[in-house]
Amino acid sequence: MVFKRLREILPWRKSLYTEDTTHKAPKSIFIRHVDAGSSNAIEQEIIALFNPVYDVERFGFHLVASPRHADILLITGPCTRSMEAATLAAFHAMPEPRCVVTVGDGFEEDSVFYDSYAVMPLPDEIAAVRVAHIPGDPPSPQQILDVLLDLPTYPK
Amino acid sequence: MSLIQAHDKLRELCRGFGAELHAGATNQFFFRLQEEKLPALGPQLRQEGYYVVMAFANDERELEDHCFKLYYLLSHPTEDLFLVVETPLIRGNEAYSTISSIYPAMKPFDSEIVSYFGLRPVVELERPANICLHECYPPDLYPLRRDHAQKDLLEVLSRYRSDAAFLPRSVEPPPMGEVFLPVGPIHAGVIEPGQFLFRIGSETIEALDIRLGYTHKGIERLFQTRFNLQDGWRLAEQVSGDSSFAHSMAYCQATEALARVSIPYEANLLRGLFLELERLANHIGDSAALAHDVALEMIASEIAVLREEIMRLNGRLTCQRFLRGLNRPGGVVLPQQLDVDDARRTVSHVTNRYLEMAQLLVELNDFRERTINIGILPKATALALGITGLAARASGVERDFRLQHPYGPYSHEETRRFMSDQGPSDLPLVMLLPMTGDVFSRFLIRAREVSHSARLIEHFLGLWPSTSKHEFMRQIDFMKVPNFEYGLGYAEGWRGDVVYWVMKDKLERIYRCKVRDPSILNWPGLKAAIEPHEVNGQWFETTVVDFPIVNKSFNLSYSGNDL
Repeated sequence: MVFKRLREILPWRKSLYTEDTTHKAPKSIFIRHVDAGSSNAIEQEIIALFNPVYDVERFGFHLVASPRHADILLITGPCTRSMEAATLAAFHAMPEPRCVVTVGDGFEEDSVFYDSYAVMPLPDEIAAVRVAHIPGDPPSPQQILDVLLDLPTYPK
Repeated sequence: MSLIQAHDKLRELCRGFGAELHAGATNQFFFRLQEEKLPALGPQLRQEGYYVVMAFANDERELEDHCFKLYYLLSHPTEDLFLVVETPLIRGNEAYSTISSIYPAMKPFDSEIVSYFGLRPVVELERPANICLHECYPPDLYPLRRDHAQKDLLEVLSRYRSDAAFLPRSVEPPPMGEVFLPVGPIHAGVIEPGQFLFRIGSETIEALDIRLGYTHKGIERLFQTRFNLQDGWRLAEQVSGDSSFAHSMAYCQATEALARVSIPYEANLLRGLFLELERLANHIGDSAALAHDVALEMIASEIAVLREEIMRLNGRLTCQRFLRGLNRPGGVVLPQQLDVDDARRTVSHVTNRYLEMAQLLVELNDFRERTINIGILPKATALALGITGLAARASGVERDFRLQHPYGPYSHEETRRFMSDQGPSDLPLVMLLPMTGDVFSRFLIRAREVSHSARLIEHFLGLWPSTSKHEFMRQIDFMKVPNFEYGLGYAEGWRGDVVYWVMKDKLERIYRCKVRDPSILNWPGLKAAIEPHEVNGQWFETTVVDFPIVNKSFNLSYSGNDL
């Protein structure tokens, strides 16, 4: 019943779909997201990545619940003092080889949080395997998607 | 009771306790009280129905009174009247008499005052007071005291090493047959960090301990050290991303109240328009998440697309999907001409589709079974805990600053009439059921507010003058404002009322900026809705699998709570 009614009221929304970039699909990448202290705007944009408009699962990106399954740690920031230990724990739980992508202006040198007693730079260990940073306040889902598709190296 | 009567009554009530001061605005009653007299005045205020909006401390040891001061902001239950109470502590004294036994809503503010200022309530707090600042901070840091130079503070912190893990303090072992289930701070989905410690017996939750503070970014201190009155909006909109516009608007209104400047008509219209667009986007997004949580994926996806359309509309109108960078003290900066037709078309299209989907959900048994009578927050509990905003309205407590304390865009005559004239609703009857405080009610209230916001947007767009020259800004010269004046600003964001209290220093900087996100009042509401409780003689328990949907129906901000 639901499906029948849905079919009646849903138009085919092709116009909203982003350009076809399926050929760039980098196999299957498991992402674990960690909010290291961001305002929740970036989280909303990451959630939007999985809606039918952007639908990053068609490129093989999956959000996973455990860092033990993850290839990429997607960290949104800035990194707060209270979240530093938890972020590191999530990072250490990942299997190697592992890489990190940071999102948001919170990690920039001139962010509004610069000089706060409660905000830390990204821990060195994590910064060492960072493969990309996505600036923006917050970056739009399309910007995040573009970077994810163009990442130079994925861990094999 | 009229406003004047309420005012006189309040004056009568407070006489004999302290002295009336000159208030910053006509709808405020500013009052100074000896700190130890507050517990005597509290019950009388409570009896009159006054509720706590916020409370905070201020380090005024270098000002004329040479002491810490506590400020309380209370609101009249129905009239547009605020009571601002200022209670100076005795010089050198660091203990204060809390009124949290009279007003439980004071408890989160008490923890803030203890953690950030090191003041002690005379009566010990029930909960350990370290939830604002975790064990990774030295126990006696008190970052909002003004005697710390920024350099020293950073120096102390760089030397401090703590072995304490990010997990909670050790807890008592659970009773026989029950277990602890710790969840977080990092959760399985894409949400903010916070720790939930469930005590479960078989499948039901017996007790819930919520530990927040993971996203503490030192925002209130940053206002003092890094920003001046003109550019504080940049930080305000980072407090809670989903309410960016409500936060920057409340901040700007506080600075405008401070300078006693009224902003141009068009700027107010724009603020109203964008505030409602923000409400629309978030209510629609939450509806999608609720559908997702009961595994109705097709409906969830369809509603998520509608949210994306609103976000793109925001992007087209303002070049910023989260409506950031628009508010300034004195007005609004719009990067391009407002495309009235585009806004009108998109909003009406999205709302119509959304209401179709919402009706589908409301009538669907799969959805009803998972939401009706789940996570009930009864009206009496909501009133006692001082719950605010959307969660309060879903429990039948009519608390809406747009109606009760009309400000900015909502204070114009036409808009006031529009807001108070409910009229016959075009919603189907099934969406107009009375509010019972369960997850279903919190969904219904969202659907209703989407419909209402859409009509309000239509109303604002209808008032938009068709001339090509608009005035959006009024320059404010903060140097002319008397020193150490305060300004109060508030905006009803989608989650509830966002309140800012801004005090100017000798120059154009911020001496103290208190940020109050509605989440700080509503987190205890989530706990109360989850833990076993009685409603109308019936006993309700929540199972662990229902927790995510109850949590989502509140959708509180971690970042706005932790500051």
